[in-house]
Amino acid sequence: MAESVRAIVLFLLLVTACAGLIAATASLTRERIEANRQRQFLAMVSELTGNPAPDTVRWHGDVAHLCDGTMLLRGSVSGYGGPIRWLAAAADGPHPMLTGVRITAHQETPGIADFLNQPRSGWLARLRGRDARGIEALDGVSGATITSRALRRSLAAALRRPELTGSECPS
Amino acid sequence: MSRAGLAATFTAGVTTRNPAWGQLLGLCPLLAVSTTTAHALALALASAGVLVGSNVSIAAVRRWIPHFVRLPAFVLVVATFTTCAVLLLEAYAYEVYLRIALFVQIIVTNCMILARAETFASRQPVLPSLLDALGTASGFAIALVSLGMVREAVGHGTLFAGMDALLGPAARDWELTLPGDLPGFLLATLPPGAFIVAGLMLAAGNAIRTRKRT
Repeated sequence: MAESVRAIVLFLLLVTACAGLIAATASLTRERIEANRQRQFLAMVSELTGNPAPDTVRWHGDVAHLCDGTMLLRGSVSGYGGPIRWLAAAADGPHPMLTGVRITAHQETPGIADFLNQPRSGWLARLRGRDARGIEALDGVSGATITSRALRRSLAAALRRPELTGSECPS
Repeated sequence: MSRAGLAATFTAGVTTRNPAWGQLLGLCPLLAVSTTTAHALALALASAGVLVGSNVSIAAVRRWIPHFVRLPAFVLVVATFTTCAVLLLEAYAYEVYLRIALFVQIIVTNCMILARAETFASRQPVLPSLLDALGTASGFAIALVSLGMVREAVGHGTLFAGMDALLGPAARDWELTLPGDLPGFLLATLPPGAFIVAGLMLAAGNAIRTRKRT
């Protein structure tokens, strides 16, 4: 009995020490990790819009006007295996046209849904230059019907949202 | 332990007890990450950090770890250092982190590290455990980096490409393109190529060992 109490106490001490070490490392690295992620995100934004990266991105709901003639949209939709999160850039204004899409997270079947990881080629590249109507008219991906249909619906709905206009950019 | 004993502890980790070529431990990350020298080196450094940290701290507290919870305790210590290694990698080598984070995270299940904790660090003082960890880490690093170099040379026709992502801008000019303008042999960078190259290197090591003995 006394032996197991001793073991539990010692083990808890070890747990505390380990937790302390992790907490110390996490607080030391937090700022740099945050900066790295932000840099990565801005580089992705620049690639999507084709413009130099903005200094900051201020989201209003799921829309961010970059004030360089483009805006960012983000969304999440239920795919075949779970939520698919996407980030897209479009020309700013009424009846916007997509300039690029990236899938930022998904749990679709590996292999079949690999086109989600290839933004520069294949199906995702064919979304570029399309407005809501054009996206709906695009053929799905055979074998990934549910995935591609969900994405098409989600993107088209995002481009049709009324709050896209009314930009707060200084004119 | 005598000075000679300490030296022998270190060299055994590189030679006879080499985790990859001697004990065939830790082969999953070894084969997965050795596509280029830079990735191999990053994983070798992360594994070395975890191995040294866990061996030294387990040796330091070995008298207070109750015998029947020693395995959970070892795994806890290894997981702690692995988490720290991942955080440090994400903070200081983000490009490399994006590519090999998964394989750094599974260092925690690397039997090479748990084996050193169970068979050595839990029975020996801090200094021998440190040397044991350094020896094992060097052995693993040599195996990993040599495999990475062979696969990069055969698969891409380059050496040390992308080292700046790991070691900073000073390493940008390290990339060597092998003479002869070889087209990359794709198989070497794919998983089957990893098995083939690792098997050939293992066979070469065994051949050398057998020749020495006779």
